[in-house]
Amino acid sequence: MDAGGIIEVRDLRRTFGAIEAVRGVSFAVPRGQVVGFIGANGAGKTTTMRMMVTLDVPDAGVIRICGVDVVERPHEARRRIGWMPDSFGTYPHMAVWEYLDFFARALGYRGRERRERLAQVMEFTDLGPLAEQDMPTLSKGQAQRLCLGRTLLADPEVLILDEPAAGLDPKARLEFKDLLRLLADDGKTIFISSHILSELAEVCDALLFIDEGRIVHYGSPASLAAPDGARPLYALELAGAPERLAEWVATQPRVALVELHRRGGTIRFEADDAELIAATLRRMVVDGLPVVDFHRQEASLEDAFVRMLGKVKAA
Amino acid sequence: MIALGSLAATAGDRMSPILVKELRQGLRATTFTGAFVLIHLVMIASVLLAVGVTPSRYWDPAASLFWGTIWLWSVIILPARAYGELRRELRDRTLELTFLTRLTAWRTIQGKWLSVFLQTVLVISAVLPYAVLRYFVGRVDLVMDMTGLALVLLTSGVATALMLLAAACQSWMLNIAFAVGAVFLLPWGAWGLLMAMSTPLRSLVGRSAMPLNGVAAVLAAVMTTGFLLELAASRIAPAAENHALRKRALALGALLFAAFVAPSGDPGWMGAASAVVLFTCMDAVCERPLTLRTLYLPFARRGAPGRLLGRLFYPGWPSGMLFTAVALAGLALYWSRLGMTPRAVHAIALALPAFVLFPLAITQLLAPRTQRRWTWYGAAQLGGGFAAILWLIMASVVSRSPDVECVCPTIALLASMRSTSAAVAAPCRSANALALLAMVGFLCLHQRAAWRELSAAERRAAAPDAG
Repeated sequence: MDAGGIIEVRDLRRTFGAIEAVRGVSFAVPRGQVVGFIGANGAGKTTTMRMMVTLDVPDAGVIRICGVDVVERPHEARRRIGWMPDSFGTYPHMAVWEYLDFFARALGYRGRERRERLAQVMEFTDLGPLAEQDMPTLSKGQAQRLCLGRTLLADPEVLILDEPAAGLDPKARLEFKDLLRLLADDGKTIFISSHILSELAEVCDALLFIDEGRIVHYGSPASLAAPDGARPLYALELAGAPERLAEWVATQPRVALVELHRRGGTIRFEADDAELIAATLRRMVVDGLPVVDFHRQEASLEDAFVRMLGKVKAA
Repeated sequence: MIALGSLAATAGDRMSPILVKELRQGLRATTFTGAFVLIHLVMIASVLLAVGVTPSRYWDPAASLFWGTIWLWSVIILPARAYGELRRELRDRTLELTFLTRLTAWRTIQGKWLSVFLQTVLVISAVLPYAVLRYFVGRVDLVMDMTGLALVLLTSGVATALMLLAAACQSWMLNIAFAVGAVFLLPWGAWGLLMAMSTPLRSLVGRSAMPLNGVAAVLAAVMTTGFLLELAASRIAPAAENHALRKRALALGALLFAAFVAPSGDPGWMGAASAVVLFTCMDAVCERPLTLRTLYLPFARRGAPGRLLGRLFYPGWPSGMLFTAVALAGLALYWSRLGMTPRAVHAIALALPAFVLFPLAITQLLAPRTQRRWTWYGAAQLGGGFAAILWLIMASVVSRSPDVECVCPTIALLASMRSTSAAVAAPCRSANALALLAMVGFLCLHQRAAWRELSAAERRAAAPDAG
């Protein structure tokens, strides 16, 4: 049924007047994966996701969730999707349990079944202590947990979450990550968007990058860093006279200076060759460079993404 | 007893989820609780006034306080709150989350309306004892008071539906139009209802049967409410819901009821049914054609008869044109049964389609791919209206009996209501007919591509895997 992936998007397009928000987006997400959907503000993330959850209709293209075409059969598709929007509007004069109760009723739960489902969701999201609290008085983190609880009520196979951690404090962010891990362990397919890479790298099996309405990269977090991994960066700290590092590097054949700063600099090796790196360090010491610290510098995902984006734009 | 007990236990489950939610919120809101207390204080004051102050010939302060408070609360404050609530939900995008459940736009709007209506019922029930007290104090006609309260309830229902529609439209231009419409039309509608209902209720007290025109007036108000709610639902509905079917079927139903069931020539029914049909036609030609399979599936499943029916009820202006042709033909037939002269029927048969289609032709000419079809259509219709008014003023200035008809449809519509000499009218009507034919031809040419897409969608829906 979902040979091409539990989520399958093909040549998706959406324009708003003269603005092309989504330009031929295609990707497939295998069952049970957590995929991070990353892009700058205005890159087309939310538009793509809204089309995936049947809240918007594409101008062209196909979206299938669990093999169901969401444009052609939206009612069927909705039963399989849990949608958490980026902004969470609250209802005045409504307690947390009443909010969940309303959605449980709207999803067709009746009587005891409804009460049991509510209890399960409230336990999972730890909303029990807040059950009687009025919605407008919830903190951002509590509101996001409530929103996730609502998303989980129908026990959907696919969760589509738009910037769920935006605006959360570090503690709430950690709590939210834990909930996502639990859901992933439970076998849910999670498609989660953010414009903060580091936020997703830890929890995602794959990262999908969108820029100006086009997919520019799709792969594991490691695959994003790989192109630069072939030419490793090393940071050096010297006991004074950093300019000597520049003079010394200029005489070395397989090493290049990336940057120089007050207490040292960064160099790049031609290849990720352990012998080359060890020999270079040895020569530094022999040649009298006062090396205090020498360590490999891991490229951040953000840097890798920005570099990759630069390449895409240049191409 | 056991059955009653289980019924009570599951009563909440049987109620619409949106109604449960709206009642929970609505009954806790300060506008309800605070004002509910206030209304009792005002009612006590009105009874005390009735006891202590003798009304003058022109003004009864007790009655003014009594009715003013009820009207303000039921016809203005509660409907306005429904407007504000829906606007807030649309702005905060909380409403779209409900569309991902089993709730449709119609059930959502209906639940919101019902919640406000029940709150109005609660208020009116609360003031009933004061109405009876006023009767015992004297100088009060209890039948008139009860009729008035029923009228408040009906007007509140219509006003709430209108406010929900205004909120659903989300266009400031349409909102102003609704506000102006509400200010001018609601008091007139309410007065008409009062006139229609007061006589029958008196006769009911006199143990004679309730004449049908009162019932017809109530039914007309109910139909108008239903139609306004359906329009509101269609404005907020996801694209996959076919509201064209329900709106258009409702309009045809109203017309058939007016023609065959309602008393012949009843002004309430005639006006309401004609307004509903005309507005539905205008709405139908403003719809964007959509080719989603879910919209075509219910018709495609029923083979050739279903597809034929679909040509009238698929969403989009091409099917809207066909519907307009059928509905206006029905309306012309209905009017001709009301004793109009053949000449008047002929003039109206020309003017009505032109009135609906002329702004559509302008829209197709200037902005065929616009997403804001109603805005373009409304602007063209307004332009025609202004031109018509100018023409009438000019004609009145130039001559006392202007023997002029014009090819502008809105003007033609107004002109058809004026007396013209046969010698001048005949060639003008021919010119009107030619202009209308040209306009229909232009629109038919324009909708070829849309019909091709529609037929393709129909075939896709009829395909075996359409599920």
